[in-house]
Amino acid sequence: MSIVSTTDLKRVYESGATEVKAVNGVSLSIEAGEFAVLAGPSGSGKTTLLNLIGGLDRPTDGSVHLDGELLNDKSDDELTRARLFKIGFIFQAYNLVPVLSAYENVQFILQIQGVPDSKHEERIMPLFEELGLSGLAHRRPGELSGGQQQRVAVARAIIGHPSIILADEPTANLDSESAVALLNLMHRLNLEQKVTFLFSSHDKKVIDIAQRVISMRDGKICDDHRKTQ
Amino acid sequence: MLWLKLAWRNLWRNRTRTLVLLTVITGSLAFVAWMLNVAYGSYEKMIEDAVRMGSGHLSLHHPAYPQERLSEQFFSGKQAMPLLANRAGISKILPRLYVSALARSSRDNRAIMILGVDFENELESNPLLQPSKTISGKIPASDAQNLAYIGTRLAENLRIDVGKKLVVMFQDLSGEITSKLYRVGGIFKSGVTQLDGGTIFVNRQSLATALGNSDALHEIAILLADRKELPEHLSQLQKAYVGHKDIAVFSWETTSRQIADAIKIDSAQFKFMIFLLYVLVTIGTVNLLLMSILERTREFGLLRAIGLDRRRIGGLIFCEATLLGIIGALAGLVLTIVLSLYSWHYGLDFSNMFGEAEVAGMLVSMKVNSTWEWDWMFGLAAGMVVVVILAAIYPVKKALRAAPAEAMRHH
Amino acid sequence: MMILRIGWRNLWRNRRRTQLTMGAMIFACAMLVFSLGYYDGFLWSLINNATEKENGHIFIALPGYYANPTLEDACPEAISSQILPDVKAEIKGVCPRLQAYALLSCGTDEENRTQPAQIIAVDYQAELANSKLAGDIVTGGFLTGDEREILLGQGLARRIRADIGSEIIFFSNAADGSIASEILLVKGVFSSGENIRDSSLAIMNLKAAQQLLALDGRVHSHRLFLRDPMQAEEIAARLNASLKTLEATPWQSIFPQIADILKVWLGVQLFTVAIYYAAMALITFNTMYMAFLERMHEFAVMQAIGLTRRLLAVLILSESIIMATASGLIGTAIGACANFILFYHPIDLSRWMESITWGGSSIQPILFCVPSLLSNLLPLLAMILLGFAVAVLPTWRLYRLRPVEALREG
Repeated sequence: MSIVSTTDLKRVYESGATEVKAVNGVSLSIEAGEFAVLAGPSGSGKTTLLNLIGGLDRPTDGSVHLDGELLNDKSDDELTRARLFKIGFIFQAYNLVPVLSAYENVQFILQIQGVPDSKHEERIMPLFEELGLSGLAHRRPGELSGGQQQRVAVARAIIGHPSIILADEPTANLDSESAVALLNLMHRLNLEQKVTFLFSSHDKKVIDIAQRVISMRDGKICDDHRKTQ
Repeated sequence: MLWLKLAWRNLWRNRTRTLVLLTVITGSLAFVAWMLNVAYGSYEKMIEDAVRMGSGHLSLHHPAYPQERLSEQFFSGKQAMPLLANRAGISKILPRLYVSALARSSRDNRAIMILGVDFENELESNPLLQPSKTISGKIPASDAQNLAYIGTRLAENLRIDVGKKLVVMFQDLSGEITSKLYRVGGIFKSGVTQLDGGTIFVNRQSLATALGNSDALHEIAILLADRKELPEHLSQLQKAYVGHKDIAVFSWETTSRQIADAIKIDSAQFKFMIFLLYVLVTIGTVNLLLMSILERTREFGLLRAIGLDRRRIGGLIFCEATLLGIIGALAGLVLTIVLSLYSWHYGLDFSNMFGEAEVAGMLVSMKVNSTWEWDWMFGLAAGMVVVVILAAIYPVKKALRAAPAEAMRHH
Repeated sequence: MMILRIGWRNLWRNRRRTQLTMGAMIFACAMLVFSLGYYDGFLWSLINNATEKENGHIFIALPGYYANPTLEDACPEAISSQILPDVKAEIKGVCPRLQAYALLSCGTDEENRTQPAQIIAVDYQAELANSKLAGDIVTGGFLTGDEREILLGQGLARRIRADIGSEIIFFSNAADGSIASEILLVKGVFSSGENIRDSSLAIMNLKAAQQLLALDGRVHSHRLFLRDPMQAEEIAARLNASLKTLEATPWQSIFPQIADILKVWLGVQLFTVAIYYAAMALITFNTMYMAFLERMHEFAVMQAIGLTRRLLAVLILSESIIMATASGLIGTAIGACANFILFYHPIDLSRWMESITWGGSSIQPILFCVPSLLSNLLPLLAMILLGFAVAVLPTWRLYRLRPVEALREG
């Protein structure tokens, strides 16, 4: 069962007089439990594709399906709801609301989802433990290191039990040690809890650890292979 | 509650900016509200002085009298007085006669207004009939039929003094020109040209007799214990006198038109200034909110990415604006109260800038005590909150226009 | 001049912000110019009423007369010999006046109505040439020199039920103590704007009054109309040096309340400017400061490539001053327009209110502005000053800027 599937997806930008074909006819499908990466040099369209899959942007042509539902004709609010319940996002930087503590940043999602307040702590604290964030719950993002911030971002992405987590260059701002730790963490979540991950990255460490590598160039997929164990 | 927490913390992300806007809101609110208290304090004084010197809070007249002011427009005291007896809330009843006459001394003539009053009755309430205003002689006793209490300018112009003769010529109620001889019993100085140069006070009974109708009255001035009760008293009295064709009830706003108008002008100028300040606050708020929001474009993109819809984000921003407005309004109210406490208790003294001023036929003192106009104060504060919230509309629209992806590309 | 060009274009980098800030400045400036024009109109109207209309700018009479007018204190009708030529040049015209009080009576038997009135006797030709008295006529016409003419104030005419052509019996004392009585015909009815005064005021011809009151060849006062009203005090002083038995009093002494207000006028204007601009200043300051902070990186780059701090400071200052000057000019233009429109076409408010006496003169129910250089310049200059002041903090910060730090942040 594919979580995400796209059919001949296109996204064209007008920049003054020129046309930029950021995504130029992409058809792919991501299955449940996959740990996949969109790889390629900058400008190849990975981030744009990720945005389209996540409903952050609308395609100029082609279609996107999430959990079997067509995203193209959804309204802005419907897309937002889809993101709230079905997708977890992790960005390169500035993931968190700076004025909320780590705990509150994660709690935020539960609040908007409508989960009753009494259930919050019992869901968040175990997750924090697992991600090694127990002592940092009350710190604000400004008081956390880059690696810690990203881990909080992971917590927030997972807490709502999404169908898929989309991560755009999550390691780009981290030093190698933190990057490796983060990737291992996400891999563990993928293996133990069957969380589906789709990355976009040009970081070799990400590509090495990924189970499926989708290479992109000039807005098209030029290679797509799953690694055998 | 997380929303409130978030809104509150967001406000303080940029301390300076928030403090600046708060200062503008608080400052302009306090300034306007305080000045309003001071202004109303001065109106209060003007009105109370005017009603005591003039026709009271309410007055009874012949229906055409306030417009025309003709001697022949009188009414019967015997018919009018009984209906005023035993009414709670009325502190003074002052029957009066007004006759325009030519005053003649051996040296000159003057056009004057003769006020026939009951001296003893008026002593307690009329600011002019006070020993402090008497500069020569004394206020005639209530039974002194032929003594006049005249203004100082008149005395100078006619070259007469206490004890000297004063003849007044006027048309009585039968149409005949008649003269009456008075002696000057006392001379007063009010500071108002019209009064000092053209008014004399005499015993009402004797004047009525000279007019030819001892029952005639031009005015019964009524002083109320509490001016706020005026509307009720007005309607009650209007009902009471419904059957009397010659008697009508008027409020001070009609009979002391000039004062009412002077207050109207001042008030209007004030309202104009209030309007201006509100406009400035609006523009300032829009500007500052816009800046704050534009700075957070990426963050809003992020929030939309993780699942906050436009409504919620809009709600967040409005929450911030509301908090801002409420804090500013509360601080402004507190400041207003502090300032007003001072000016209420100690009063403000402008007399070294301006001497006493003669406005609308009255002497206006330059020392003012502010009053407490609570409904205005709260109204202005609430208005300020509304203004701030409204000012957030445009910035919110701008913040939510871009698609999340575009917003995320900012920075 | 490159700096100015850069400054101007920089302003428009963030269009909306600049528009908003300038909008606020233009609004504040325009409102201020209008307010000052309105206050000036108020004062002008007050002075005008006290002088131009009727009373003139300088009052010449026997010493002490103006404070204490009596019938017998009359002075010669011819005084031009006592006025030196150099003073004469400043005088637009002279109106001699006689003043008395009388009983005026109209109608017979039951119809008879009698009221006391103040009588002002005038030389109709002098009045037509100098004062605006004739402009107050509402029915009928002004005096034409006919001996038996009388003009009645509107309120007075109503009280004694007189109309154009009615016969009025005039009854008073002459200066020699005899009875002065005459029958006069109503030529016109006037309204001065002060209703209370109009209820007991009448105007007649000087010659007729002189005969009636046994004051031939004499008058009570001479009202001098000057070319420049504000010179009244000075000219009165010069006159007093040459007048032998008479005294010249300037209008400022007769209406001290108005003179007082004039003294504090500049203070009141500055205070108003301060209030309006205080709120403006804070808002503008914040905008500029934020804009400045946003561009730290850019400034650091400029410094790195060789622009001196001084030049950068000039850049910041010029942006601020350009914005303030542009706003000031536009705002002043708008406010001045409003002032001019209301000067030539004042709005009549008499439906909502009557005139109010004030310090001997009166406030008329009209919305009226007087455009003046001061009321235009003051807000403009203050706005430019504001633009300068607001740039001070950012400029100071610039001087303390270390390029390396700023570049790293970017």
